[in-house]
Amino acid sequence: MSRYLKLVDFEIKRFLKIYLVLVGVTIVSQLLGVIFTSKNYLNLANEMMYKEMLSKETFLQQYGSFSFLQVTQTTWFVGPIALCIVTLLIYVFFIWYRDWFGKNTFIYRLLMLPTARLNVYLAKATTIFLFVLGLVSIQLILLPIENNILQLIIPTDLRTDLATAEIINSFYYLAILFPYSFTEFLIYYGLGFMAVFVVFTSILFERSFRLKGVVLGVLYGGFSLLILFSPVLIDGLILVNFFYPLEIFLLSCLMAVIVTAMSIWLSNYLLKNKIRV
Amino acid sequence: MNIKRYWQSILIIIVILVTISTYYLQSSFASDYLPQFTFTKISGDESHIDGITITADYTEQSLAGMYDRIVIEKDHASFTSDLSFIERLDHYDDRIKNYRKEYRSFMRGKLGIYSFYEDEKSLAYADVKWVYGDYVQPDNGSFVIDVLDKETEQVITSFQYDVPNVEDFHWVSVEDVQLVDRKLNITTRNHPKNYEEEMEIHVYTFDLDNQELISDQELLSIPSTNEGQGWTDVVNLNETDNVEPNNYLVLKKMVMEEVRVPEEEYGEYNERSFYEADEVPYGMEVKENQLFAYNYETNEIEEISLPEELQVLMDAATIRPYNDEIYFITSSEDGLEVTSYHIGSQEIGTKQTFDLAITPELNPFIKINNGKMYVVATNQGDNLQQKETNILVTDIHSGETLYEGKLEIKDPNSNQSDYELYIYEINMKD
Repeated sequence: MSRYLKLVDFEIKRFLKIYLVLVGVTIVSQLLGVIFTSKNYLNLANEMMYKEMLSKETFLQQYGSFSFLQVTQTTWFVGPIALCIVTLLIYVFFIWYRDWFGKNTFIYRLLMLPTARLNVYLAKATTIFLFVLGLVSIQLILLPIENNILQLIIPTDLRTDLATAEIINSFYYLAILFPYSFTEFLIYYGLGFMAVFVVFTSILFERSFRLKGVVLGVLYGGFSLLILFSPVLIDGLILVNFFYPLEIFLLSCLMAVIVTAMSIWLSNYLLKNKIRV
Repeated sequence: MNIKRYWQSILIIIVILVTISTYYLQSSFASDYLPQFTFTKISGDESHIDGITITADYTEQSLAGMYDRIVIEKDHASFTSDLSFIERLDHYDDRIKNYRKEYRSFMRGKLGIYSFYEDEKSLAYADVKWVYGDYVQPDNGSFVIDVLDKETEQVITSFQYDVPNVEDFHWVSVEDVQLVDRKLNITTRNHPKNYEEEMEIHVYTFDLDNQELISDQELLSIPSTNEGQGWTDVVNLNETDNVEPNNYLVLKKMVMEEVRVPEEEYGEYNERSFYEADEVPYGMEVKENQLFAYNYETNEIEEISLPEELQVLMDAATIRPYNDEIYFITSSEDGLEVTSYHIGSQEIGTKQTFDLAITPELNPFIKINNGKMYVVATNQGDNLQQKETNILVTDIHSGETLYEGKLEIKDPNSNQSDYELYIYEINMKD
């Protein structure tokens, strides 16, 4: 256990610098986005009301009041989120391959540690989970702060105030990151983490059998998807509408558990017996 | 373990746990801020709206056109977004959900409320199952027929029967199922492959004891549309989602022609969210209107020749068949006028007039159930604040007003003028 925890800490520290840069870029870009978008709107309002002599009511009618929705749709806001997602997706692969690259192959030392080799695999997976959830949390902390900044800049009668949950649920991409209920949060991120386990196993296939392993890895990915969706496929093609929604859901959960367990078991086997350094 | 050495990792974990749990704990209380819907009685007895459910879309203007589906009942209203994940999975018709609870194994593989028929003794199901060979054109289609004895929960009859002349049709869809004395009538809308006809309405009658097709009647057909010749449609005035026994199938055949409509009317038409099934589409004018009644007992169809005073109402009125009568309902500033027409005797029956507290701009929503007529009327003033929704329940035979009330909305978040409510369905729970 403590070996595993030490490995997690070790993996986190290896990527911490880049991770903190990601967090920093997100904070700066989104804060600037709030300030710029709000100021732009305020300038427009001032121009229309003082130069064009529009009354406040006609201005609001023509241009609408300002809400956080106008901020979330900008590149300032979405850009850093996309950057974080792409970086972490790449790191899902790089967290393994970095150990093979370079002069002295680090994986050699990792695998020689006096502990189960599976701990290396689990530690890497845990690191990815913590990084993903960490970024999600940072965004959750940022949203109310940004909302307050907006309220400081825009006067009350020109804005529509939204609660954090309203901001999230009125913007499609945010609603994916922060699902409506905690059950859905567990489902979405649970599926995501299952996918990480499957990809890790595919990577280990490649690292064990190289070119042949690429084929095996892709096949394994397809096979996992097939298992995961088997209840839906059976209900759609063979026994049409036989299962009730709740039954399909529970069967799918069971399949996800099976896929995850299968990935961990296979990876354990590959790391113990087949891995090439 | 040396905490100082691991402080970065520990910090990340604490931040994750605290923020995510705070967010989801907070949002689980958010439902307290949803608007409250209540029926306020104007007159009558509130017990008459006990089982009513009104389905609508609720929009708050401040939320940039975001809307939420809402089901309003007498004592409470539930928003789709307020349901749990599991409840949202099961988004089927209430009756289907109840059948699934009661007849769990019988209901497997069965969807679509239009395929069901229910009386005191039995629950019948009929649908067309298609077999695809090349995934483009169905190779074969057959009726799937299952009848359940509700008391013993035994399947009395279960068989499949090939759709006659199935090769002539692209598609056959079931609209209504009726059981009369061990004979099952299945009303379908067939789309032929030939180019002379667009659609045919059929009734297939099965003998349940011998599991045989007794007859395949083509009730009406629609010729293909050629340019300049107008456009024909046949509308089933029986509610297709009805599962109760029905004596008659009432069909309305309309021949329409394109007309020019001033542009300012176009906007009005577009802004509406609800259209009746028998409503004439935009830019069309009805040239010819015919009403047909098909008797499920005698398996005969006849054209109804309406008396002049009802014939003129054909375009404007809401027409609802119920038992042996057809009800013509019109609304004006004078109130709601209900005229009944008896199909068997071909005579006008009762005429009833009801005062409404508001003047509805569009035809009100009407549902006839168990001898009662439910009317939900909304006036759509220019100013949203004037918009009111009223509900009226009357006894269809005596014409007595049983209940009249007003739907009131209290929103703890925003001011009253901020919302819009688009009603599109009324149902009754038994």
